Amino acid sequence: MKLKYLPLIIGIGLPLLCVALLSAVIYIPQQSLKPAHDFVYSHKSEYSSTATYSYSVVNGKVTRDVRDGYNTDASLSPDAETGGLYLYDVETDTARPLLWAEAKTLSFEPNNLSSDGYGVDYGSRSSGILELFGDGDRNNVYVTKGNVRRALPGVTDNQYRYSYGFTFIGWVQ
Amino acid sequence: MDKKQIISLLETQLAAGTITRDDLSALASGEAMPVVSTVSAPYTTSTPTAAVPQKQEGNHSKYVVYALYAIGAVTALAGITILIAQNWEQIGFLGRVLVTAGIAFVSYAIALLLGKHEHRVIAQVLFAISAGLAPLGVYVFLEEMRVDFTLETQMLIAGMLAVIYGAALLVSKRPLLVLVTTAFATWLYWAYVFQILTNAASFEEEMLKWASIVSGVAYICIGYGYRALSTIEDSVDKRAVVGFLYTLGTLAVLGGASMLGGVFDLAFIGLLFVTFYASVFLRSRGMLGLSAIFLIVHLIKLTGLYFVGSLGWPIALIGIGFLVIGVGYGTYYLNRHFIAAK
Repeated sequence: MKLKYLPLIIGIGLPLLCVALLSAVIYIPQQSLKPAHDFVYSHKSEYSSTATYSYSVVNGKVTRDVRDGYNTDASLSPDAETGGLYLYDVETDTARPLLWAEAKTLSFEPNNLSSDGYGVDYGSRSSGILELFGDGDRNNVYVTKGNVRRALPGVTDNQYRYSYGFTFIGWVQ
Repeated sequence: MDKKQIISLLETQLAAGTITRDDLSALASGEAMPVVSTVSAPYTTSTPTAAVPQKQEGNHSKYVVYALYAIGAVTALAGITILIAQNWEQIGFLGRVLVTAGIAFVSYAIALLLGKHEHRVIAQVLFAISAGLAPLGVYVFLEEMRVDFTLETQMLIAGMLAVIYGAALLVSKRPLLVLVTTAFATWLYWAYVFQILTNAASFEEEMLKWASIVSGVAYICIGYGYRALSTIEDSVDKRAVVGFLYTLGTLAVLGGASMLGGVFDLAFIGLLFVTFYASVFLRSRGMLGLSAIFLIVHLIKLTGLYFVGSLGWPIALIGIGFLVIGVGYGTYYLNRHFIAAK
């Protein structure tokens, strides 16, 4: 190979090598991101007209308190089913609505990390340089471990595009 | 003088206007040559000064024309942009596509057809208009199709445009297309980097800095490779393209490296000396100037970090002042004796 082609080969090959290395550093560990436990989260739509609750895990069980909503109904029973709870199945990567009656029976990890070291993160995708390379206002839910994270397809569709109420509750034991 | 030297001298003097073809014809036929010149040194090869103003006038006219081309292109682009903005809803989808992608396509086609060397400036102006409007045209089309402008979509568009303008570069060999193709390839590169980094839970900033350094090295290598491999003659636009790539590459490398911090603060000084040497080797004033600026800023940063506590700000400022003077003079010396002199 003639040496005069070397600068051009480096100029084109170096960025390719860089993205290949970055892909290897990120995508290979990402394939092993498979939590062993399901988790529960709540979702409050900004336009919801139902009473909303704040959830927390106390002594391994989920509890809830009424908080200010758009149409708070004080006559609701403490065990009323008002929706907004979801169980994420990590095997099938899908989320299904969870009844409050069912959620009360589940046992949860005491903190935000699962027993196998996974966490759940919610945030926007990178807005890039001067907003040129980013994805704008789309928000995603990620499962994280160490320096790598993976978007959860079961909760990344446009139903949450204009919502601000994703709240992680806990990992199911 | 041998035969070749004599012929070369005659060609020079003919071009300068010192002698005419009639003089040569008369000489060849043996007639007495009319005395029309007072030149007394028959073997001089220097161009008489009377011919220089005409050549300079020709150059001035050429640059005036180039300036008018540039003004025309900028005015056309500004007009198109304002037209689109003001009548966005009224012109409908077809109108929007026509004034963006349509003009981009037509100017691309005309620029490709203008293959002659004397048309190189107008061809590159048309390529510039096309490259500026093409992404806008694609965006209009995608918006109409309700396709989100996600990172994946941007990667596809950037890759497509890089291939289209890269093909034009291979066919027409216009220097501006090196910049255009590099720009679209850069868009593709950064879109893919950000796509990868959406899956990174940490170290995003570090990866961005290294990605910037890599892109800077790539620009410098592409500029050098293009200058070495290009078969077209060395022209103002070719030198400008290469110089721009060197400068942009230096900015990306030094900008990314300067933000690494930690142990790289020391390695950065070594990198700066490399860029100083490279600026002389590549004869790039832009690279030299940026190296000097980054060196000054880095010296101020290191002084502020490590010496202010022991020496105090007044003495540190005196030291910085003298260092800046030294760097400034060194830059001037390098430029004058190694870059401008070649």
